[in-house]
Amino acid sequence: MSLLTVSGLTRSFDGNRVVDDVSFTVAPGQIVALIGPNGAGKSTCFNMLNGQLRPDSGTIRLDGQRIDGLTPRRIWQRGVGRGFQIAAVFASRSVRDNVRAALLARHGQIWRLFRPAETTLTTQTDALLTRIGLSDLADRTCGTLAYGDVKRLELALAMANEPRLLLLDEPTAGMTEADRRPIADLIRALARQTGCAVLLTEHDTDTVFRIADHVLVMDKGRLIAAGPPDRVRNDPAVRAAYLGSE
Amino acid sequence: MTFLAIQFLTGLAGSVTLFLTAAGLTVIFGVTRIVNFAHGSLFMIGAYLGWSILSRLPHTPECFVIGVLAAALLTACIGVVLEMTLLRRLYATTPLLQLLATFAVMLIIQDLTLLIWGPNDLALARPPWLRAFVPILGERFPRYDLILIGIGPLVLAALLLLLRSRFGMLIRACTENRQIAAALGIDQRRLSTAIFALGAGLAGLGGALVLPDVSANLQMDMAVIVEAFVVVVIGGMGSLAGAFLASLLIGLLQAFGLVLIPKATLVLIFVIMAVVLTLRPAGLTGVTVDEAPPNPKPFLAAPRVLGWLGLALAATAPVWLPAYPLAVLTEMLIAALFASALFLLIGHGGMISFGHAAWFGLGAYGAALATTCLAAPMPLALLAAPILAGGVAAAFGAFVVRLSGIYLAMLTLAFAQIVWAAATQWSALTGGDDGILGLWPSGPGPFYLWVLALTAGGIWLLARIAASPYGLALIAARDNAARARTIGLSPEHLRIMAFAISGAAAGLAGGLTAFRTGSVFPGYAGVDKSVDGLLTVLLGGMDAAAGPVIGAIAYTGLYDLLLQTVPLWRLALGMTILALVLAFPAGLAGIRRRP
Repeated sequence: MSLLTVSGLTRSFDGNRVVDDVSFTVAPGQIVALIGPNGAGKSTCFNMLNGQLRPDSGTIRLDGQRIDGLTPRRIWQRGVGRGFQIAAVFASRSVRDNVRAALLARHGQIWRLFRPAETTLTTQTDALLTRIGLSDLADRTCGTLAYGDVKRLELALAMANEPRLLLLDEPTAGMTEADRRPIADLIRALARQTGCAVLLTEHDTDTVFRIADHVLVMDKGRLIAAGPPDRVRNDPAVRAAYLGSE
Repeated sequence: MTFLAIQFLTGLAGSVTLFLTAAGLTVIFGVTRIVNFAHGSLFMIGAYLGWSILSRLPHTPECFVIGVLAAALLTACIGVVLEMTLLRRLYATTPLLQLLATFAVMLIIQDLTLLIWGPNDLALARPPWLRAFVPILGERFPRYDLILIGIGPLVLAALLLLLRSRFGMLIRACTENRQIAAALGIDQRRLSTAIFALGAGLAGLGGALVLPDVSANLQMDMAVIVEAFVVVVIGGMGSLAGAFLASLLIGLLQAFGLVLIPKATLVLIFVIMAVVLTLRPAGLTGVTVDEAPPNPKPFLAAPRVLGWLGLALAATAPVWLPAYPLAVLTEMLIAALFASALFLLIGHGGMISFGHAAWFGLGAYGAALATTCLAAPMPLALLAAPILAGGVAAAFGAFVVRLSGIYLAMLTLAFAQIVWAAATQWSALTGGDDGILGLWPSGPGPFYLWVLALTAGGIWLLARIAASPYGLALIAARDNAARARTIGLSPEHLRIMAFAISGAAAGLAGGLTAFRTGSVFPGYAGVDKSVDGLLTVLLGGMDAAAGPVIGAIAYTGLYDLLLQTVPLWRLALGMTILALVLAFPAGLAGIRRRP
């Protein structure tokens, strides 16, 4: 039984089929990488999965229930966490408050108007900070963090929801070679620890082959290959798409 | 049929000066991203300069043209001086500081005008050629209005032609995307000065052109700027064609409204603005504004010891303070509550309210009507104030929370003007301009202690809410709304709640003011009151929790001091605000952190 089932997903902009009849599945706990050259339709595909775009046709099912066309917030409620391509956190708050905000939302405590946030969910907040490796930076204002740490914090925000599925749009974009590895390892460790499935897009092939169990390759809106990393790496169609055929 | 045609022409004539002013405002905004509050003042200067020049020239059509153009040119020069000495220092600051500084300029120009031209309205002697009528469909129509109708499209054509030139290309580039324009090597300093000259010149031209119909007066600036704001917002910020369409719309609406529903014209205009913005959040022409990314800063915690000390001092004040300072202190406390309410919305919610007086006014009228119509005792009336204001604010919030930045600010202004207009025109209920009088404190204990308890309690509650899980979520939605959604927050609901809380607190401040002054007037919901609140918040500083209280003490104190001791208090207040904005952009509470 697969966790995420995408079938026949299609979306056009001004008559261009940017995503064309894409179907795939993600099993529970599986790390799936969606790769492809620029303009292949990865981001559009992703934005339909996380609710920012409505598909023209096709369905997206999470545990058998349709989630296509739902708002990002509803999709979050179904247990889907999300990271942004350009890391997005709450810049004016401390690292701890960022994580706390996500946990407050998770535990339905947002509408408590008359108790201090400072003393709410402190244990859970600190536990998550430790797991993600940000305890030392807990009191730093996010605007002053290095990019690698912001990426970590993003993961923490997504994990606060105890998601069944994590959607990560280029989790290592804009990072140096040295910073990528720890993030990739962290993603893999989190997936293994929590049993959460991960679907990620990525440009950096090292990262992909390092952590993915399964690789999907898109080109010109279509899925052109799928399989374990080693097989996909040697697929002639994939090589052609990346290196340019003809 | 004849009636329609005549009203149509009247409306067209009225829309021309509106367009001239709004066109200047909108091109200035496009290039510099400054919402120039002092633009109405440039219009007023144009009118006064026009009067001075035209009344010295022979009354021939040729001299009229020369005089009007000279007035426009002089106003343009004043605009250049203004830009080079002051405004260019503001480009890098926040929109709120820009608004504050240009408002200060408006105050200064008002008093300087008073100083130079005196308090009386100055009417232009109209020679026969200006008084002539033209028969249209059997009716007599003023010939000058026909000339005006011709000038509007002429100016629009000239401006559009200018936009096709190299200079215009630079303007369009900067309006479209400032960063890229800068990266391409466009000298934005010189362009900004030039555009300010153009905008000021247009405003001056508008001011000089109304002279045959309206005498130059000191209330022009505020009247014109509010209308120009409306036109620019309806048309879409930065869009010339939009401003032209919108001024036609508003001009016609005024012409027909004055005849058909004279009492509700103003309300009608703002309702149109509200409808346009709700349907097309970026104005008629759909120009989206690439607003400067917010620069979110964490708030400094309020020093707790100082707070308790202040409270203890205030509680014993009736013992050691004479009557007058005690009255000022009462005023300060209420101002602090009002500013704290606004601070929650702006600081934590990230929503600029330009019409917070709406909730203040609703609270004041709520309390007053509860007393006069329902014979409620003061404590109940003071309960009615926040409930009425908070309830209406929540409903209003539901409409507008999707709008962003400057458009949201303008819609809050629009709503405040509706409340103001209703208070002025619904005289059966509100007493109109005469207000509601004879509200005296009737609760047990001295009134001062009621004020202290309710304001201190209200501020404490607001601070507590700001530090609660809800407050954290509200800030999260402000910092990054898209991110907030993905962790399951609903920025819209959080913001509606912020409107409700902030509105209720402002309403309580209004209710208290009703009993403090013993009366309620439409001015309680006026633009001045909203600006008072903004100035208080900004003076205190946007990134300190204690800011509103410090700001209230400073602003109320300054205001009362200036009002009493300085004959030209607007000039003094304006200069003080400018000095503060330039020297302490982080507000008074930020002073101690300066290196």
